[in-house]
Amino acid sequence: MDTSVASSDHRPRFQLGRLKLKAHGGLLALPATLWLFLLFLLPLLIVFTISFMERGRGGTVIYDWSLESLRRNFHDNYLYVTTEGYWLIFKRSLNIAFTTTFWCLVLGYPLAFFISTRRKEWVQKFSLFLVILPFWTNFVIRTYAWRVLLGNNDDGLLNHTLLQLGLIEEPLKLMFTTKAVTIGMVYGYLPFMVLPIYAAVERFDFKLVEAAHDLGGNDWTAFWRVIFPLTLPGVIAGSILVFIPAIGTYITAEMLGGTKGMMIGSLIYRNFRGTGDWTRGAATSMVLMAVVAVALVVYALVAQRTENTPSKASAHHSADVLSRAFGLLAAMIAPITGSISRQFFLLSDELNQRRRQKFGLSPALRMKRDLIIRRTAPVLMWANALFCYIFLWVPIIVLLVFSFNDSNSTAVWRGFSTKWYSKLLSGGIDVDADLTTDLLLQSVKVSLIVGVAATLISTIVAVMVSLSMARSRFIGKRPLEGLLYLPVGIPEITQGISLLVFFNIVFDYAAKHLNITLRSGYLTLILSHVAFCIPFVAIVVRARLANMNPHFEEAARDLGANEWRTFWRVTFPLMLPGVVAGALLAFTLSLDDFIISEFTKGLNTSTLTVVVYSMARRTVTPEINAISTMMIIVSTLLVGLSLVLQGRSAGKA
Amino acid sequence: MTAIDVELRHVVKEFAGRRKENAAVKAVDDVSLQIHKGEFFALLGPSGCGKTTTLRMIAGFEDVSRGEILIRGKQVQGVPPFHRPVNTVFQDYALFPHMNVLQNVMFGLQMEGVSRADAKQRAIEALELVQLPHTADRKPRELSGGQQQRIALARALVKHPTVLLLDEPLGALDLKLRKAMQFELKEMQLKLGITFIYVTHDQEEALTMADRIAVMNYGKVLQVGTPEDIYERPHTRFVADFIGETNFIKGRLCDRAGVRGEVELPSGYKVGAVLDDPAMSVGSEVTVAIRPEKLTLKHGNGTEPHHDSGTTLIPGRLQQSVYIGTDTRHVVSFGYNGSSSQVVVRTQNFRRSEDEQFQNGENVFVYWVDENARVLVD
Repeated sequence: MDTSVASSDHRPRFQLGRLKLKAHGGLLALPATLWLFLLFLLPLLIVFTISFMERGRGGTVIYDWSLESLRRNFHDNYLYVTTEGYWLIFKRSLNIAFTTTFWCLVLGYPLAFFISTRRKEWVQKFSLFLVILPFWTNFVIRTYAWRVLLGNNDDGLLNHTLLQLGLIEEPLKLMFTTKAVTIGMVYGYLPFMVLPIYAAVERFDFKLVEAAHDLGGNDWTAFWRVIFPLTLPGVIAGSILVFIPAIGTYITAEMLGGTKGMMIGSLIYRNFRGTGDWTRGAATSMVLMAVVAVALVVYALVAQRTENTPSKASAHHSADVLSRAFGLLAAMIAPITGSISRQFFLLSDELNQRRRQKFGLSPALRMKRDLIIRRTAPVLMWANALFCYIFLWVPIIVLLVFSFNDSNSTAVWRGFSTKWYSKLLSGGIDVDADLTTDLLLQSVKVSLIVGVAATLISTIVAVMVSLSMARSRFIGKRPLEGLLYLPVGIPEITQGISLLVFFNIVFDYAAKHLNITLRSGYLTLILSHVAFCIPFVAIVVRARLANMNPHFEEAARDLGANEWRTFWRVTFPLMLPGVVAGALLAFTLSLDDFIISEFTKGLNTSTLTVVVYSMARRTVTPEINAISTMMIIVSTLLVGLSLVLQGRSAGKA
Repeated sequence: MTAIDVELRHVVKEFAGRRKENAAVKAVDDVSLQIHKGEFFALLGPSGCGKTTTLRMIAGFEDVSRGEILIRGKQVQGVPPFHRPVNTVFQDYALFPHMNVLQNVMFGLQMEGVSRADAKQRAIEALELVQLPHTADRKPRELSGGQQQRIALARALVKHPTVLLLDEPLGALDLKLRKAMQFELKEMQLKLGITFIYVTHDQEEALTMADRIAVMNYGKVLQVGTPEDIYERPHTRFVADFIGETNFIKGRLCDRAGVRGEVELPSGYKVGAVLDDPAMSVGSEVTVAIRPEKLTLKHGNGTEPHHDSGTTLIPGRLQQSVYIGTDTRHVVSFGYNGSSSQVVVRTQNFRRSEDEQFQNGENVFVYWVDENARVLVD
């Protein structure tokens, strides 16, 4: 009796609370919307516009709108991109990006499969951790590690070792080749391939393999007809996540490729930083975007086709999120690809049939063959996993070890010493005349200020938008969804130059019309870092929210908590692990970023990554090893801390 | 003698213990079975009894730890599932979600190298057999549970397996559909003449469909027999309890003549029953098992408890009568020495005349024919 009275008492207030949330739901999404509109979409549109304009003097743009000039400049900017010099670099970039994606897939699929089929949970977690940890170390440092390994002369560790062993007589030409770039990128992006595939295999129902075996399919057939098609979304997501940063890469190409390995990213960079031909740089950047757009459409199509496969937790993985964002686009073209793929299957069936008729094996031989497959497959998988772990960890370990070398060399071990560290800390750096400990410390300070600010702001904004997306409906939610995840699919270099152009326009306007002199500095850095962090934090937080049982919140309301108290007492504590993970990701991304910081930094506000890059791209020295080691230790501590925090809150929940 | 399709000889399946100090867990413990050609054979038992593991060993998904399995007289140790002449209908059907119904059914034939046209023809025939040819172009998720079940059946049957293995195939269906499918499965099995090995925890399902049943518990086969054998002549308390409802009355065997035994209850009354094991010795502690429907209730006035001429009559007090449609279920308690035990009596409601009406709390007599009660070793 009591309860019924109480609940009827509360009912009107429930309704009120709901209305309030509905009204506020859109408002919660506002900061993220504005931020991404102003600092992502608008700059992108500006770059698109100036790509049709004429080049002015000294890195300026002449805003000329006549039809005649538009035609001329279209020719200038876009057709120039397809001329010999540029087109060569485009072809090379495509080539390297595809090769990188291919190798990531070849190594990453079996590795992901290996990890997700470990029986013991801790083994699985640990194997995954071994793949992810290198990912948390600074990208510049990871690329630098390959410089140490691949050095062309006797001072390259690989060459040195091979020479010592007598396997080669002359040092191999390893550095400054497209191969070096490919190796560096496979190294850098392998985790992007492994994670989505791991998630897909995790969700795969292995009962289906038994069904395939039961119906007479051997291990090979069961894999290609059942496992692979059903984990294809993971493969496609992974390929896209590798391909997009690979095609737009700057750091790897610059550090490992030199002039032989120059890629689109360097081309764009040079137009904005070197020759100052902004309009051409913008055009190049738009052509790059077109390539990326094609990749995204392909992804969306496949995701659409396979979206209907049963999954234990949808909206959990970035793959699902991406697929939803581009789903609309795909729906339009899906019928065509559907029939194409049907034709493909028909054809492959036909070919199988012919092959079987031609090379039909006796049952006994077939059995033998199948048993050989059964025995060798796990061996190959182990071998691949072992190779991947060595590949992922050797560069980092080499880097660490040689930072304690008692000599100038990064290839020949001469004894243990901490002299590089003391040299660093006492201010005796002599890598470069204008590179001092003071500058290094200053850059650490900049990185920390920008990192902390960007983390705090982006986390708050992302949590707000995630809540609003998860719990309320408002007009423009679907476009916002696209806006929220689009930055993930846009090459960093494009984001970087678009911010450069955007801030320049704003500064010009302020100087001309408001008489205020503005310069790049902390503010531009923080604004930009927040913009590229928001989507990543939102993905992580939304995944957590999607996995949360809504009954907890309903129970809280049922027990009389209003919206406010429900949020702070129930929702927030439950989503906290996601928030912490998102914040950590934001901090890491901010520290890791080179390109966007490079284009938005001011005179005295170079971040640590920018400073380390400017050193590491030119030389290989033990001092850089020492700096790298310290950065690796800091990021490892950070990851460790977050794991502890997450473990604790998971324990509580 | 009928041909044997599947034979298990002292089959043991051990799973490694979770921790090192734990010994291996025996999921299947020394199971020997002979399953005849064309037989509908049920493996019945509670969850975790090893019935599914047994089935999976026949299918080839699990290796045998010890012992051997023969299919049509051939050892299948080391033969992977895709080279065994058996097919499985999985518990949750395991239909391939990325293929449509026709592609699912054709899959197995294509694995054999049947040409596309033939495979399609045979798949459509199989779909006709399960009365779902119109679903050929649909994806499995667009079908109801019952339809998915039939597709899984068609997918397995299209390969004409020597033995069809069914792992609780009806478990996910609702009661009405389950009953209909039971009937249909049985019909199909008779029509096709394929040996069915059917795993279930539902005793009614096993009794309805199977030619023979093996009751399992803790990895062991407790009893193999026809449904009538299992129901009417259970050898162990577990089998009697698991199949249908059974009353157990504890006592001591005080006399025996051939297979007839006399058991003295703690209250001093003597009751008659058939000995399950003719070698039982007088004086041992035993349990009398008797089905509720084999008991009759009589009014208490003017009757004396007795045990003679093959019938038993003992007094008790009616605790509760529950009307459940076709039957009425009575709970009767026997009090003695401060403690009490209960039996359940089921009477059919076919007359409901005055003299069959009982009042709660009334002193009544429970009556049975001794042949219907069985003495089991404790």
